[in-house]
Amino acid sequence: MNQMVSMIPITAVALPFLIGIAIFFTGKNKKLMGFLSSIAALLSLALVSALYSMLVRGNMDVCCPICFGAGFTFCFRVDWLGLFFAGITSLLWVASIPYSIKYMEMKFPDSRARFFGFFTLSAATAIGVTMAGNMLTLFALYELLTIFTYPLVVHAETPAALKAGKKYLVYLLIGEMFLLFAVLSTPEFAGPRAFAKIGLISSEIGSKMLLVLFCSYIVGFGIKAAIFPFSNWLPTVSIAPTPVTGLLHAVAVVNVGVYGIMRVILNVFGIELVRSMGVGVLLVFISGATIIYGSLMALRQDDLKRRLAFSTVDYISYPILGLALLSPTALVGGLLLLVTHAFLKLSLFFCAGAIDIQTGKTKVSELSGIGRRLPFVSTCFAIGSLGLIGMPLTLGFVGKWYLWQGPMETGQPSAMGVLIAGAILCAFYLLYVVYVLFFKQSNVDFVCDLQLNWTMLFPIGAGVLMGLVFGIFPKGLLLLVNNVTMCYFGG
Amino acid sequence: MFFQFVLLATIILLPLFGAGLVYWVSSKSAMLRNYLAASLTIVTLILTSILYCFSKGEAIVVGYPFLSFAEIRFSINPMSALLAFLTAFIWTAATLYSFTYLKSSSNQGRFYAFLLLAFSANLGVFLAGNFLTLFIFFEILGISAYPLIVHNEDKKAFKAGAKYLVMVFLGDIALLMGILLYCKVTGNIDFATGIKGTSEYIKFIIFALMGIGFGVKAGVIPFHIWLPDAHPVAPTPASALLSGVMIKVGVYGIIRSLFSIFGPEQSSIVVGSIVIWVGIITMLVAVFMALLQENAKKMLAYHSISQMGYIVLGVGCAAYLGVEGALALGGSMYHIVNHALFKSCLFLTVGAVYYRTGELNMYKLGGLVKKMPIVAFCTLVASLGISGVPLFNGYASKTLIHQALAHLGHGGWVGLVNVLFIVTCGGTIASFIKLFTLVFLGRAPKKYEKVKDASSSMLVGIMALAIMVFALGIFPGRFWTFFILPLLKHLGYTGTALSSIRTVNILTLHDIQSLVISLAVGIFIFTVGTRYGLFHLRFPRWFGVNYWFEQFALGVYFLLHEESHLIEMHTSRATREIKEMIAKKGRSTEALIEGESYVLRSLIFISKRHVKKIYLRVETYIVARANYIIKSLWSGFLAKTYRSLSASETKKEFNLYIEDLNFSIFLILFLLVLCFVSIKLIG
Repeated sequence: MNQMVSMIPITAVALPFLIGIAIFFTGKNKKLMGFLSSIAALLSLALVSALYSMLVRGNMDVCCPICFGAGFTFCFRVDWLGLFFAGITSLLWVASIPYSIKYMEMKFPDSRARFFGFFTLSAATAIGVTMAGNMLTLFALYELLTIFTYPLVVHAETPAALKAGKKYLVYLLIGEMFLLFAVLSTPEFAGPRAFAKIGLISSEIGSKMLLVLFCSYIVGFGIKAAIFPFSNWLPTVSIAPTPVTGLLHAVAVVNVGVYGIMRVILNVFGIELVRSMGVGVLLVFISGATIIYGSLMALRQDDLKRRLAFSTVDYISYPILGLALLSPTALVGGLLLLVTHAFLKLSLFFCAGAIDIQTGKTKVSELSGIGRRLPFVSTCFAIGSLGLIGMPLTLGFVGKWYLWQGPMETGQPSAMGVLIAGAILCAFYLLYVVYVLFFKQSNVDFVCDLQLNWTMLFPIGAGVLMGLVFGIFPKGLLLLVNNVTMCYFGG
Repeated sequence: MFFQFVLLATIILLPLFGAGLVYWVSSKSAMLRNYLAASLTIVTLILTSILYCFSKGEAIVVGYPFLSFAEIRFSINPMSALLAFLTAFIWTAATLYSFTYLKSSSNQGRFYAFLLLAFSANLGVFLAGNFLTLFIFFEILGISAYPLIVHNEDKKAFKAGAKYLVMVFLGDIALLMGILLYCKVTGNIDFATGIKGTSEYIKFIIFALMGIGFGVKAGVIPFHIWLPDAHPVAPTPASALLSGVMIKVGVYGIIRSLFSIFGPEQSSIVVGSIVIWVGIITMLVAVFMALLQENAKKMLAYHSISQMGYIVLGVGCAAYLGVEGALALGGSMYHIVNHALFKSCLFLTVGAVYYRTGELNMYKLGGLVKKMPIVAFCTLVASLGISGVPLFNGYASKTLIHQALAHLGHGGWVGLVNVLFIVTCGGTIASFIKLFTLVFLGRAPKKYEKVKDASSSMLVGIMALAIMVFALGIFPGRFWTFFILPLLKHLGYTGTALSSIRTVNILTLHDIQSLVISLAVGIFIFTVGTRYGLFHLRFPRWFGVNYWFEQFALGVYFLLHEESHLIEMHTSRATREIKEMIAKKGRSTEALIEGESYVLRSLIFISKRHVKKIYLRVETYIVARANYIIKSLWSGFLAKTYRSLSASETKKEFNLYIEDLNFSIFLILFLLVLCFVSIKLIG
């Protein structure tokens, strides 16, 4: 195993972090604020691409320990799995910057320094989590992410927003208690090379303890990944400004939860141990329940953003299901669906925000006739929905093709049932919106007073385009995902 | 090789990108858009005819590596090329026709764009070289047909559209499952000539899943429920394409999957007889439903289902007979071509009548033969074609399928199938005598005195199809030798099987006998039907599959509504309505015939009031009971569980649009059972 010591991982986290702090001091200087936010995003993207090229050149991982003495080591380390998640977040961070600048200008003209400061900090922390080299670093950044996103959730400072913020904190902090317990009980949690080998925990600590540890980890990370029955915070925080729901609560934060679960199963426990413990089925059950629950609830929502938030609850469980099946094909499918979700759900949220800004409509039942007024946004919404459903020639289909082979390989019919039911329900709750947008007759005439400009339309179009391009030419992405999978399944 | 690749790519991509272009041009100029749509379709037609020239000999395969061990692959072979050419031909006719027909319609840009998109997808399905490619284009076709169906944007259209989408989605999922299982068993996704080395059960499951997927599209009973709603509500050119071409995608898929899984060498009596019975039930039930229709387009839609039954029956015979089934399969393929021609021609003529008169109800039309002579003549030609009269195309294919039935044996269930076959032929004949006499003969109502023949652009499309109907009827032998035999060879039949059917006599004494019998049956059904008003007979709603789908969906609807008082309201209202109906209609017999009367007209002739009363009571009881049981089931146990799950949600957020969910849950359960069985078997 080649290892290489470099300062790039820590730079990729620290530099945007510092810029984020600097944003607080920009005051009313809007141009500087926008400039700094873009610089932070672009820097992190550049550094992540630099890391990618290092990994491609054959280094198994890039690491950089910082010793604090007394056995505590903060350590940053990048391997294929971490890079995969960091890549998604940094790419979409860049895409969402122009949108959020324009959106905040229209929706919240005041107190934007606070917003952009915390926005940059949160995104930088989310990337940092995926580059953490041991459990201690991971936990610390994970906790920070919760705290940094709280001011964003309550940004509007209305009673509803404050209430949502309270719920958010309670849910996530309880999860972190479980996680803290689990991390402290893991041997070598602060070691400098904690993730370097596969299987950190040995089965010698006893089967009961193993199970307790496993459950604590799953609850700890699972709350952030919005698994059932801890998923209710996610729809509640859809009250936050759209860039936050879009980038953080549909991409960065939930992905971090999924990332944590993947680390636990692939690195901390190791696939062999999980298989021998027989807890894969437990995870299949949990993620299956989340999928069904999320999509049934999404069907019932009239508020578009809430509907999309429940759809996130539903969709983010596919990667977990793919992982829980413990087969390489299913994991490839799960990771591909994670990418699909990141690109397309971000676009869908941004579409919802654009419709809100343009027409003031937030409820699905009020959207009739929008398709003709906002053709670009609505078309993007339609293509994005079809992509999430898994129509051929979109990335969703490629993911579906691999994920659906998983239950057949491992012989788990219940997982197959979940996939089928999930696919059908997903089609219902998304296509209904498309139907309302394009086909339903509208009686009410609404005013379109603002013109959306490219800064808002570009991120929407870019996300959808990515979903299409990767769906038609999936080779490159498949290569990356295969690299991730091969680290753990070999061959 | 490079030339073929470019040719294929152009055929599929030209309409695909053309769709976007047409939509863009549409906002600029209507004229330019029409020329563009027409020229794109005609160029594709020319290209497909060039493609056919390459299809003789070995199949040519071109591909693009898409996923690991699964590429997007196209194949040029006699079967694909013939169907692609047929598609392009009918598409051209329908596109030319639609310029006049849709002149005053809104959303024309959308219509032409999706027409071209569906064209591309349809060609893609037929030219696909493996199951992955087939699936990709099949799903695109399914989605792109939706805007065509709901083009009129009225309530009826949306209801039909929702039903269509639900069914197509469920079908796609079954199909994907089937393809993935096939992939798992064989290790690749290519078309083959029979899987070797697996148990019959697994083969059967794979075929069942694929068969459901394709069967939904083909309108095979019991998956036909969307078809009689969706085909008539679409604008006529789209109906013609839906019934003429897009429905063939399903049958083509059934043939492909059957031959890939079982192959021509292995005869499978179980699968064969199941498919035969599905086919015969489909053709029989649909033809009787067609006889009861007043709406001409709806009648044609039911006939589409019925004719699919013929094709499926032929396919079943081929599966049953194995090596000797070449004749049956040839008959089926022949019928696919024939049905595409005469059914789209019929839809276009009926549409022309509608365009001039604004009326689709056959009973309100009449005497149009003098006003619209060319349309009347073309309708006659196409009706003779579908009725299976010699010198018109339908005769040859129906006779071939009938001859193949004789190979199954004699007596027993085969004898029954034979009888049902002739009855169906008779029903078809009766149905088209009815169509022609009601619309074109008799005296014209006064308001239609100024009706003219259809415009020239409509007539071009209609006449092109009618001429083909006639041409194929005069030269069936040539068509058989040049088109069908290479196709059978491609599907895997070897020399000995083919040499015995190189020439087939389709005018044996037996054939003429059965023709005469079915003509007699047809005339008998028509006479008795009109004499006693049997064509106005309405079956009770719970008699059909659709009703139970809807009842089940209603249960789901209430489940999601969690407002149990709605349930009580619905039940009591239904009962009240029926009671009112008894009270009102008890007085007059005529009232029973009209409206949504439930009573069998024939029973009235036997004894008037008593039977009627008893019948209505029984029916009221059954319907009310069934309603009650289903709804109390949902509202009781399941709804309570669900409500407790979602206690945090306020009632305000609850909304009323979940009826689109319709029958989904039923089919989800069905699919779940299938997937459990399949995975248990494999795993």
